[in-house]
Amino acid sequence: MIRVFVGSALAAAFIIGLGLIGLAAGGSHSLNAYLTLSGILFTIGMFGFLARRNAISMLMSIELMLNAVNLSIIGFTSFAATPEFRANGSVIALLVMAVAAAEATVGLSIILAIYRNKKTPLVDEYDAMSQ
Amino acid sequence: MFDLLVPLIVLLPLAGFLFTAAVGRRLGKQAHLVPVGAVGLAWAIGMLVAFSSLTGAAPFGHEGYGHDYYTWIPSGSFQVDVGFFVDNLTACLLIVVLTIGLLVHVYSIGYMSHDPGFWRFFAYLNLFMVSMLLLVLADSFLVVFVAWELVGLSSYLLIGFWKQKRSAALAAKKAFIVNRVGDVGFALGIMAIFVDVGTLNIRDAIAALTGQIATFGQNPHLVVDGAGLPIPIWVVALLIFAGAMGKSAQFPLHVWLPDAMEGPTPVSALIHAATMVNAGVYLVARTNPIFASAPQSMAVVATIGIFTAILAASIALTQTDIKRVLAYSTLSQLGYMFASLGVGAFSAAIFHLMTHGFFKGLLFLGSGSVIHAVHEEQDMRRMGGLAKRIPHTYRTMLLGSIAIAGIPPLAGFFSKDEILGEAFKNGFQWVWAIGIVVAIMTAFYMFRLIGLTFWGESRVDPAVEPHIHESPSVMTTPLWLLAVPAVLLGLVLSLPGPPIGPLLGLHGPGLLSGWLEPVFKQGSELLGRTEAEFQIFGLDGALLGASVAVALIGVLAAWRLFGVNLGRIQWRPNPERVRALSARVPFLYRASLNKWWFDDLNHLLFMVIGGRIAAFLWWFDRRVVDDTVNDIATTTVGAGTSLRRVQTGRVQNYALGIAVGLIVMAGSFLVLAAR
Repeated sequence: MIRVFVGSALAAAFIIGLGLIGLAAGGSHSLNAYLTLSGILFTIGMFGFLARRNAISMLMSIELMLNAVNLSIIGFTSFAATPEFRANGSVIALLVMAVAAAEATVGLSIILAIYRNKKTPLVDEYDAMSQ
Repeated sequence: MFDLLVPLIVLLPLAGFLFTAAVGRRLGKQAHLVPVGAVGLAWAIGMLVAFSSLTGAAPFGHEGYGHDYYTWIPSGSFQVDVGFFVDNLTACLLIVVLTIGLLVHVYSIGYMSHDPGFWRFFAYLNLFMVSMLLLVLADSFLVVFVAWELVGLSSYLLIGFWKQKRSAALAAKKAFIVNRVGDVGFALGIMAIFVDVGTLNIRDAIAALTGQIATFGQNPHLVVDGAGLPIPIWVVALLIFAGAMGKSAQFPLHVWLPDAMEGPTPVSALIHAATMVNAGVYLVARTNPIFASAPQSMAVVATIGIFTAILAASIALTQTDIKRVLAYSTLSQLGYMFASLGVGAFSAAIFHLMTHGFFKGLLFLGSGSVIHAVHEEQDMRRMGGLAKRIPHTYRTMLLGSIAIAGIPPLAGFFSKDEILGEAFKNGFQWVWAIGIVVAIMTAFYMFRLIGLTFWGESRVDPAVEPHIHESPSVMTTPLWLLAVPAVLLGLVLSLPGPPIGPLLGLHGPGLLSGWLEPVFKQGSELLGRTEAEFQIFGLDGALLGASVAVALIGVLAAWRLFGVNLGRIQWRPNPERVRALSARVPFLYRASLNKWWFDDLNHLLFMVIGGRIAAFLWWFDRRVVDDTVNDIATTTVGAGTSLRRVQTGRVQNYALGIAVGLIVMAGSFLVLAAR
């Protein structure tokens, strides 16, 4: 029970921290705020991909990085000088999401296939390439 | 007709060699019939050819006659023909080689009769005859080189004939290796000639080198004037001379000849005294215009020749092995011949070659007869008093010794006097001075040999003493037959010229110089030699007197020390005096006894120092060359072994690499963009 509270508190503190960083970067009218958020999300995703041992978690981290990139693309296009370009970012983001969904499907089925052989979801046990 | 006869001279011994080598073993004691018969026939044909050439009969004329039989190497501009060429120089060599060769063959029938390798000996002897005859007859430098190597091979086989004797096997190897040193020079000389003029035919090459005709082959634009040659003519001359030095055992390549005495005595007589060692003299004489075009190379020839002469003569003074005394004597006389070539007295050199061939062949065969009589003993300290016991050998050897000592009117006097006189008159007074000293030594050591062997008290092993016997007539007949030219050849070949001719009121050049005049004409013209009138009551007479006087001094000195027993002249040997004299000059005595330490010097240079260098090179090869290769391999394997740890096979490690790389690239881009 305590852990749920501590976790919620940490999550709330994190979100508030993000908001503070966004305000410090210039608020919702500034490109820097979006890029900062995108950078932070990408970094979290990268850390998760490198540090988590569970293959599913790594797949989730990849999704996080992809969405961080999506956010930065939408951010760039929203602040574009010519109005005609402003919708383009959303189209690219949708395209990336479609590709990400396909990639997640393929990734999950690969993980399932390995899991059946290795009986473990931990990637550091997958060392067949070192032989 | 001569197109057919001349090759027969070579082919007959070749057939004898092939026949004996194939079936000789089965013939037993009859194995000598075919080889001796073949050489006998070759001798008859050779004498006919030589006589025709010397008398200038057609087709020889004065310039000689050559015929190509076969194109050996037809390869574009490089063409080598196998042809034979006979002129008066070849004819003189044919007389020496065939006559002494035949007599040595006959002598060997007796000398080798008890040897189990009888047939093998005759096969080798015939092989030698083939090689030597090919050498003097060949018309191309390349064929001469082949013959040059073949005489080296047969010399090697015959020196090591008693191959079960370790010393003989070693001596054969030594002769082969030392000869090889000279042969490298000769081979390079032949290549240099081809580079210069593009032909290997001896006459064409000489004519082109001396500018008589334009060059052949790959240098058609090059008009030779002596200076425009790619390789200077003096280099060519010295390279050819290097070959001659090896074969004729001139300093510093003289060390093999004394050791070659390990072979059977007929071999020493034929190969190492009368014929093969003359090949170098023949080669220089044959290429005389090349040498004459480069006077500095002539000076080298003269210096090395006269130095070898005095070096070998000084060693011969104290040797106690009868064959070694003769071997050093041969070296010394060959030195005379080269000195003679070097001072430009070409025909005197050939004169000495002929007379020396006969009397030294005689002396060697005589020493073989002596060794035979005292049961294979070669040490002169264990001979003595043999004159009465083996009279034929004694008389012939005495004649040979008088001949080589230079006492008139025997053969050696004429040729030696001509060499010394020519040296003096051609402006080489120092060669003459050294030559006179060598003449004293020659007379001395020859009569020391005679005194120790034939005169005085017998020092023969008492067990052998009753069995001393004269050799069979098959051995003594060749001795007497060789004694005839040893006595008369000098007189015959020098008449009607000096030195005896003018005394009898005759005029004109000597017989031999007349024969050889066309051969050496070009060389003498290049040197600018002119024949002066012979003055018996002038310079020539004085030089003549000096030659005779020094010969007599040498003989008398030997008589005083080692005794004489010649008719009424009876002196006792004086060993105390010999000992006192040698004690007075201890250094010179030991130097002579130890052959001036040349064998030790060679041992030091090539065995000790050369061995060290070889050991170092081996170390270098092992440690540096091999290890470099090995280390490269080891490093590669080690690098692979350690780098494979990087490849963990874990996805996240690779992903970390990608992430770090990305950060580094992005970071460096930012840093660079900020500037």
